[in-house]
Amino acid sequence: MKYCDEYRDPQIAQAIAGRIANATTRPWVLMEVCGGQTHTLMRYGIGDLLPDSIELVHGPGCPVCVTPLELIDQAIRLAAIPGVTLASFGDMLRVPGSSTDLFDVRAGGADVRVVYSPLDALKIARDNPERQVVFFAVGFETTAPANAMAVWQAHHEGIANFSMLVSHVLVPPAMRLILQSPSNRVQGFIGPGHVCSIMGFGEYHDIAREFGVPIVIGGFEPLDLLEAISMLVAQLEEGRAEVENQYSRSVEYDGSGGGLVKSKKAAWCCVMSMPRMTRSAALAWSRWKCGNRPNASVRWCSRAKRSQLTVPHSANDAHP
Amino acid sequence: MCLAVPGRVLSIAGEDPAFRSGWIDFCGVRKTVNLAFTPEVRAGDFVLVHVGFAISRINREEAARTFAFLAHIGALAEEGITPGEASPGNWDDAA
Amino acid sequence: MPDTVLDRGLSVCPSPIGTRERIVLGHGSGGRLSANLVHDLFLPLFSNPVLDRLDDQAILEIDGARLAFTTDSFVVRPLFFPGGDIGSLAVHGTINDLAMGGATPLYLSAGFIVEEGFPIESLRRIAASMGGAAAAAGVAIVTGDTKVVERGKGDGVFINTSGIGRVPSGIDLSSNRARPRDIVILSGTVGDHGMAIMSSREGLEFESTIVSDSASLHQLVAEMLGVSRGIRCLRDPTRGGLSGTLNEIAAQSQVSIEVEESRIPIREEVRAACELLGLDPLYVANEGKLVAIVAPEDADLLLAAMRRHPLGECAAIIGEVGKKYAGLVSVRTAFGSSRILDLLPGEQLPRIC
Repeated sequence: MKYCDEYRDPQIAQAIAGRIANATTRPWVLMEVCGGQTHTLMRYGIGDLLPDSIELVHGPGCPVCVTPLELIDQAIRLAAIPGVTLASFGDMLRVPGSSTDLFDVRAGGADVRVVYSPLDALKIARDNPERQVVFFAVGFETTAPANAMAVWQAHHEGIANFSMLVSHVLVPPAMRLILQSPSNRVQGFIGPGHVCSIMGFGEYHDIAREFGVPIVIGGFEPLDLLEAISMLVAQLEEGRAEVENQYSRSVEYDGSGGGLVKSKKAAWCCVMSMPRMTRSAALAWSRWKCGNRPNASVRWCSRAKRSQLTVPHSANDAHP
Repeated sequence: MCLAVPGRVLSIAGEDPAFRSGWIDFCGVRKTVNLAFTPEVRAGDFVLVHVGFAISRINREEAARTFAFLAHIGALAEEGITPGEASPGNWDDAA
Repeated sequence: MPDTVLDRGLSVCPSPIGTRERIVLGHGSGGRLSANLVHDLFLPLFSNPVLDRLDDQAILEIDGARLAFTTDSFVVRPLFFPGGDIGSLAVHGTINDLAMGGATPLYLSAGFIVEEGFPIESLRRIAASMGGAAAAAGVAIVTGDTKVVERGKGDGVFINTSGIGRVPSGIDLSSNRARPRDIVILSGTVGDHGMAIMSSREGLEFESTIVSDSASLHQLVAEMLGVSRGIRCLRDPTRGGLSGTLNEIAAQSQVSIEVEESRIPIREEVRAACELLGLDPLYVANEGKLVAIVAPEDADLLLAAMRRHPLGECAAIIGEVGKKYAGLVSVRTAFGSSRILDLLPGEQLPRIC
């Protein structure tokens, strides 16, 4: 596969690992942010190629791990309502809530379906007008535009039986939380390549400057990660703390998503991102309520103020 | 949050930007992908696809440049030469 | 108050629920839940020396004759998929379970559980497919049964096939016979069947030319047994994929198995489809492939014989049996590193992360 296979070349991987070993004079602790990057590191045993003095700490960049327990429980409660179809990415089905998981709820008769895309969930709603279809919309910034677009399309088509249970999170606040911890040992970050494909990487300069840590925006293939590690080690050895872009074949400074709107709440709050579209689209989004079903405690989207959207942190904050 | 796969745009359909879609080829596997976030994409381009959406257009020139650098590192190592201070940013094609 | 993000558990991947009160789909996936169900529920209640071997078939001695006996149930969805249907699958699957014991398959039974409202024309099509597959394999369907369940209770049609075959003397194949230094041979590409099914699944559909590899392997097995007496074990990696089968062999033989990732044949399209959905092809089901554990001195001879057969054209030596960590299956990557190839808890699902 083009733009995949060539970045899995074992001989080049060994060469980059050699370069890292030659450049490393002291122990360094690095963190990759994305779960997908962790997956690659594990799958290819990248850690085995690095000198012992490089320690890789795996970051919290997996929407599964960071989805609050209360939301898993909400999804389970929603799925159990007769007439509801809960559509979800496969990742979420085996995540335990406080007492059970979506597998078990499905075993009890609930209609829980795995989808590849939020648009597939919308199709289920379109094809089954008699059912209330709730999409479990998790993800970091990478997935938020896709989830938002499903909402936009639902509104555009007047599909009334589609709603979302939303759990979106942001990477920069997560990195700040880690760096602010008194016991933090991470000295450099491999930044989230696909998040930055959407968002760009401008917002990481403040973090690098404030905390004095280098951040290299990395891709997801083995050579991407090795090269990002090499660039981080070079910065650390030279005492630099800058933002560099290893994943330049996909990431530009401004990203592709544009128009990202952040929540006014701090840290782990939801964000709704809009594609690069008109203000009328943003207003249409604001009028669309997420999960306005009786007896369903789901998140609500509040009315937009100009191009700003606020998303309440919990259903209790909702004001339709 | 991160799984995105590169594919080649075979054809594009749809006038409305929100519904503009591409017929994407992934080494023989084909799927319709929403192109709302990559309005600059044309047939023949490569895109990164995440949950049914193209999240970026792959910059072929940039990909070629950075991979050439990586391949150069590999070639040097094969010759037993320790790769030095070169980085993708300052690397010279003639090196 | 936790003082780090790590303390808050935000970087800890939550473990799936291990103990359950109800059956979930994962219990049928060929992963750890399936294994636990067999070991913890069925085996204690049914235990006997034949069953306890947990091979794909039971080898029985009756009046001097050695018979292989097996049963399998088929619940595939969609019922008609690229490269086959539930009917041909039911015939090939049970023939293969017999063949993995070295048996010549002779007779099958066919039991149908049909849902009220299921089109009779579809049932005719499935039965025709079964008849054709059985005839091509030289096997007779000699007995059967049909039940009908109320609408909504049956998912179209379920099929159970049981099979009997004769095991020639001198053939002793079992998953508990692998020993250190034995060679692992795979008969062809992995992941074809599972991805062919996936391509038609609602919510995950994609277009491709991937077809199921569903096929009867008994003639390939006969060729293999004809050239080598050093085959310890044959298994077909169905649900749970190559990983499930290798883990079962490693556990039953109390050996370790290491395979070379670069040697495992995978079709480009299957690989691409797995990349797209975030699936590992080593866990994807196959219905026309086998794994052979063979004495090292016979490996090359056996490989050559397999490659001469249409169903073994892409056969490859993929690994070796060891002894260091009994029950462990590992994969050596092209980078020279190793990773453990463990059983999945349940079914493998598409992921976004």
